[in-house]
Amino acid sequence: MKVAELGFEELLKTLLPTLDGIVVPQKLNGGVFYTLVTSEEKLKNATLEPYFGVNCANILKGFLSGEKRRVAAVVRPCEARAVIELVKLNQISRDAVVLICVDCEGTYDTLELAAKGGFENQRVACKICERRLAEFGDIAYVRLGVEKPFFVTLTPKGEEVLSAAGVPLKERGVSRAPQSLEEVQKAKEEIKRQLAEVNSVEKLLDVLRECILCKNCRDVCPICYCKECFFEKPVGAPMGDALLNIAELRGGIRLPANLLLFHLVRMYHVSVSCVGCGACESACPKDLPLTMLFPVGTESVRELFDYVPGRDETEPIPLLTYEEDELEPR
Amino acid sequence: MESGTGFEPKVVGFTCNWCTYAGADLAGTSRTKYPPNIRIVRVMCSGRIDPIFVIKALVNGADAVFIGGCHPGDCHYIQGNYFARRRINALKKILENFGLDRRLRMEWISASEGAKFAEVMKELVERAKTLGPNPLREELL
Repeated sequence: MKVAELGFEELLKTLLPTLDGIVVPQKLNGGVFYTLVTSEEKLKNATLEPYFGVNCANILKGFLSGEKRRVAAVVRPCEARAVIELVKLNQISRDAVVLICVDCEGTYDTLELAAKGGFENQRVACKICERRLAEFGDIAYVRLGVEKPFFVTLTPKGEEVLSAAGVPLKERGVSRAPQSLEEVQKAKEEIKRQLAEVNSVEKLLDVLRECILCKNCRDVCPICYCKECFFEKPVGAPMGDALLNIAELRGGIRLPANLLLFHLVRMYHVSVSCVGCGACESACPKDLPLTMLFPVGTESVRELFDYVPGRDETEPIPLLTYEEDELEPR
Repeated sequence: MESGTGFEPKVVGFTCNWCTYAGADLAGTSRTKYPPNIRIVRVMCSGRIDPIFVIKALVNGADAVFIGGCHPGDCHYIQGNYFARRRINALKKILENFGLDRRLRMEWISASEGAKFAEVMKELVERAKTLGPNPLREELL
């Protein structure tokens, strides 16, 4: 582990000339946005204010050119983990992105910034987040629980990128106190309790009653990456005559069609790789408690395979591998 | 059948072409008696079974879903059943939240196990009867 002691903006400015661009949140027009910056002039408002608009991994989807064109991205731990999952799913080239992971103190909706300019309601996904420390990616920006923030290299690539930019590096061990989990676990228990009350499909339908099937939750989800979603195709999204045919078969059909199917299938699809960023809940126009479904409702799947998304880049995604002697039936 | 409620569950079965379908066929040709509640969909391999099939069957009101494949090591495509097992186990964990997991059963049945197929069908139909009709059957979905 090598440590670099310089300011956040200073590091970005030092790195920029050696890379093709930097993806970084900036404060603009009173809001916080991700920006893709290629020129130092446009790097004036970089911020680490705790706001969450979209998951950065979604922005990095499609960066596939490898080392030829490389960008750095300033990400929170959940975003770094999502990027690593997408690398495993061949949606991002690992060589194309340098992940600068920052300690996260829990984030607030960007809406909250616009409306109140303050920090009142932390996002539910953040309240129950057990991985807030910068431990994923190539370079970590350690800033919580330390007197003076500093950068640490986590991978050889991180070290290579920093030295190529001429950042002075010191060999130094870094020992950090683990994240305090007391509050987090209490919040999580509460969500689990709420989920336990939804113990039948009828109750699940009640929870989803207001859903208009806008599929925003899918669009903002870093893990939902299919180019052709089942629910955009004729079977998943029946229209016109197809709809009438189904209605005739059953005497009637609730619309929009496939509401329950959509959510259950999405639960299954994201179950192993869900990083719990809560982008789905933030994007839901009807304020459905989606964090209860992903990640809390799918946690048992990850426990089954002892899998933490994004923990280890070499660990295969559980559904893409198997062991001969495991699970039921044997 | 014992439960005199008159409720006859509808069971949707997905069976692999090489083992379980042949096992079901054997149960038939051997005239083994088993409840006729299952509707079988033959797929080439249990690895072909997308969990969407299962969820869709349940959402559309199936009282139980059965998945049959070759025993480990016997898969015609070498590893399809191993992948299927992981998928269905993951799916079960999700359905567990909403009490649907008991309506899903996966079993390895080889082409020579007609009796086992009949036995599994009896158990599954019995369980579906205990659970009662799928609550989604009456929902407008």
